[in-house]
Amino acid sequence: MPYRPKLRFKFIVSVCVVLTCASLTLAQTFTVTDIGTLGGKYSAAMSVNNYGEVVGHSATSNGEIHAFLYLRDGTLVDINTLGGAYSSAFFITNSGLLLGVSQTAKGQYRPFLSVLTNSLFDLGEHYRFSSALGANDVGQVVGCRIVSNEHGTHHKRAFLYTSRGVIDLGTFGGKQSDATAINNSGDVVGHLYTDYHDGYKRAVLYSSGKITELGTLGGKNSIGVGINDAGQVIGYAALLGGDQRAFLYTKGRMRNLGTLPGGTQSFAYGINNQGQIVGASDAKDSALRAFIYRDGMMYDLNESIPRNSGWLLTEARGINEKGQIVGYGVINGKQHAFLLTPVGPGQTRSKTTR
Amino acid sequence: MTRSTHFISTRAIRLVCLVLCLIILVCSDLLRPGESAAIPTLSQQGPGVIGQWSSEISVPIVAIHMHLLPNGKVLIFQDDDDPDYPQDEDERHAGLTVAYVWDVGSEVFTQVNNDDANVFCSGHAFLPDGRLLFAGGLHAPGLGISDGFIFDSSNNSWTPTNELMDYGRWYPSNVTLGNGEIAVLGGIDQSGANSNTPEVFETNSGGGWRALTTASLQLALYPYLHLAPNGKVFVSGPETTTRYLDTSGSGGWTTVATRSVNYNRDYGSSVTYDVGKVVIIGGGNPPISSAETIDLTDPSPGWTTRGSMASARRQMNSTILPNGKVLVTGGTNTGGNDSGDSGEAAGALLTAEMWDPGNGNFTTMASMTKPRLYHSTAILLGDGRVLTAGGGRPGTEQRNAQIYSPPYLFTAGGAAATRPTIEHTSKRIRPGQTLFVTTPDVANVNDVTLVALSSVTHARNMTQRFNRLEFTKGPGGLNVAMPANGNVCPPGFYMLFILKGGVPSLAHFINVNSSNPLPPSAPLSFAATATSTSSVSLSWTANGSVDHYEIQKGTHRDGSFTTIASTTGTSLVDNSVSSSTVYIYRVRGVDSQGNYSDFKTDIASTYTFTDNPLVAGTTLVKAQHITELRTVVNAVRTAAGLDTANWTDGSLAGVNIKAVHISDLRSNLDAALSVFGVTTSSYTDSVLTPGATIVKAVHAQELRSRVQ
Repeated sequence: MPYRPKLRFKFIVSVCVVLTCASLTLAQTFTVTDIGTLGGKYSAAMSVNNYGEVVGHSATSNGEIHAFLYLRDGTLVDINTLGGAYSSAFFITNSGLLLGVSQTAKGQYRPFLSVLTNSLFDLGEHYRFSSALGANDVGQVVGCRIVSNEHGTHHKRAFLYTSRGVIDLGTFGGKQSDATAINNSGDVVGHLYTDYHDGYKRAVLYSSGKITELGTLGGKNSIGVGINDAGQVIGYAALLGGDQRAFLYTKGRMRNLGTLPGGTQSFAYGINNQGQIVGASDAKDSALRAFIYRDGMMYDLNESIPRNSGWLLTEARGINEKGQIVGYGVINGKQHAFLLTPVGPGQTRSKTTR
Repeated sequence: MTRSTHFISTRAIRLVCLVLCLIILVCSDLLRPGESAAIPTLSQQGPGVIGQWSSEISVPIVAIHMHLLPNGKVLIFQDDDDPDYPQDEDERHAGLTVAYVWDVGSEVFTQVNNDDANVFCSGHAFLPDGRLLFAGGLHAPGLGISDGFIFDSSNNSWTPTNELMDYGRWYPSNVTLGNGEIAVLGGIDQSGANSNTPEVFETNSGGGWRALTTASLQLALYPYLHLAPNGKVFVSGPETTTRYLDTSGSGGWTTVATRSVNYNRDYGSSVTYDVGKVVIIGGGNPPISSAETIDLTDPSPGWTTRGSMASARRQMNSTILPNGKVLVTGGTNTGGNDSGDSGEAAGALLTAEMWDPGNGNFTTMASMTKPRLYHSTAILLGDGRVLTAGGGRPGTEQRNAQIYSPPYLFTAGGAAATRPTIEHTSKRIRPGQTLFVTTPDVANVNDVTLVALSSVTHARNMTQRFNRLEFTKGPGGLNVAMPANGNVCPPGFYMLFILKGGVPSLAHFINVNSSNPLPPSAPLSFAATATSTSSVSLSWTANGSVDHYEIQKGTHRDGSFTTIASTTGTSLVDNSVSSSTVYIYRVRGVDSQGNYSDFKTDIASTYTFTDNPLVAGTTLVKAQHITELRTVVNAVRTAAGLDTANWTDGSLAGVNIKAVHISDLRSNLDAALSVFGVTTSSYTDSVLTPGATIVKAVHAQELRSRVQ
């Protein structure tokens, strides 16, 4: 009898160790498509819609950085800029709406909106928007505006653009606010800022006029990044010591998604309606590696692609309903945008820690 | 036996009681009833203990970024939203940096705006040639840009780098690497996403950027970066996981250690206070007071809690001083970033604190009068004082500065301390070379230190580091060994200090870089000869090309040397001499870059000798001749810092001149000459055998020639 508690403790520890270190198989492999560049030395893909159309940015042959649209037929289109040397597209909806940021001929940086390969529409000039980060399939756009307070100090304020006009979403209870994503139900994800200038961020869900602060994982920061049509929110949040963890907020609870084995940080960037989450995590003594989180486990996507591909997938930024994943990695020593397309069962082994 | 012991004990007890009574009597005279011991309060302590702040200095902008330039002036700038600066409303944030070069001594501000980009919130570090590289900035609050700019203090110009960075960066940190390249880590890009891929500015390839594509990792804003002795970039915080970035090739990470205090120390301080040694102080929200150190030269480095400030602080600046101590100024003991808006101002800390790496203790120093909170900066000036400025914006804008004079600039009584002086030394040197520092304070110098120029913003000093240098004392100066390892002393400009009893000299700004030209070679065959009691002839032979020669004169090895001439010729006559004096002359070559060769030294004495010259085979050597030589040799020994000689037959009265008398003169003179590095010429009859060798006129005459 006196030894039973000890035995029970040992048993629990053993089970935990087995669970933590168990090799897991993801019945899914992917082909890797090198999206290439616009002639420059690097590119990055940030979003993919259900048609397999991809947006991101790439260095050009003349040293500029331009937003690109990658079409289903494999065509890489330079969607140009608002006149300056820089543009980047970071979201595409199923309806073909592109959002990004571009430098103007006068050197200003302005958010833009475009529809596939049409010319860019300057949201800053026409609506004084500072950023436009998320959109849904009914054409609603979220982002932020820079406004002045009574002291003349500029600060961010989240906005929602609908066909009925621009709606100021307030400051979500903080000093500033930003909206980053919106689902097809009109639920908005973003974060409030605790201060007027580079204070802490706290992830927020804005739904039917109700603001819910999602909390943190013990630290000061949390960032709301995406939301699916089921209302599941992803992002990343800090631990007490400052290291960050990808989170999934669902059913009123923020869940720490852990890291790849031995890692110290992870970030969730994309979620589809099946609850599959993609992002990046480091592992022991490694840089970031692209991951997919599904069925409660985090998998290293580098183990789901052909072993001789030559790719190191560093960050996965978006996933669509077909399970296609975009992001960027290293191939032949250069950073290139990639598109992963599922091809069927495979042998992916990984571990996860929390 | 027992009685005796008892007797001694009783005497001892009586003696102790007597002493105690005396102490009580004395104290009762000092302390009246109701009084306590008079311990000076902080405000009653003098500047020799707690230092002293200057009055406030008006500054035209909020010095959110502040940098000490190689010419000793200070570059400051803020964002483009200066209401006094003419601009169209629509142009706000569009790319403008309001900047000034500030001559602190004359309080002259020269406007040097960057009209092409807003580099506010950029990262910055010095290139090996002293130009400042800026990485990133902002185009809107919280959104970075990909621009790189170089500020050249020789003409106050801003020049864009040849390439944009691959990643936009707002709030990145820069660090100069051991090979002169600059790594930039962290920040936020144009879209608001974290810039996870580090980049390296390649100075050896015309100024391109190399992305470390296999080293993507998300770091905190303005991460705490240090160049480690192994050449890797050490990230000490603010998170608790600390790690190395290997910048070679496409990069890679390894974890070093987890800090001992499990707390995110954002807006704290992290300082390289010695080779491979880093201290992280305060920070966090709410802030904490503790400090932790790590020694990266340990085989298995680990963090140790070491000391605690009197107050918890964040938003402070920590500045390394010429004596290796770290001065903590400003900050707040409450959380938040915005002055006046979130309680930060309510917790403003006006007292400074000094961290002593020797014992890990913090000592409270004098209080300034203005709060220095978010957006404040502090740098070490070349005169050993600390300039602190800025703060606010948002919040109460501090368009002013104050300068702190540390205790080492004062005597215990509060008077100005006497500072050692650096008279001359090279402006450029290669790593691993010996630097000769001319100073009249050779005898009393006990420390030589090197402090890298500061480049500061947002409580992050990205460039300061400290080296304590090995040195030996020589005639009129110090032979200082410059570190050979670029990872210990990365190429660039430094402030060289010599310290006497803890009091630093004014800094000598020196560039350390392997591409610096080698100094010229020292001249050959230098000879100083007194041709009379009022004239000395000097001559030397060229040893390679120089711009000119510099000739100096002194009378004691550890005394001051005066430059008496700069000439392109190879000879000189000095008629400004007194009789019966030993002079030390030295000559060195100077190239067009101001680099010096080593000195060549010789001595000359203007004494009068009887029967001069002594004629070989004719003149008998007399006691007077030997006595005169003894006087001069002793004078030479005194000039060399040696004791006077113990002569055989101290008094020569009635003594026959013997071989040992000549031998004594030769050995004592040679010992003195060797102090000056003068090679002794061979003597006639090099071995004088007592009782056998007959003393000849040539023996005495060649000694005369040697000292004249």
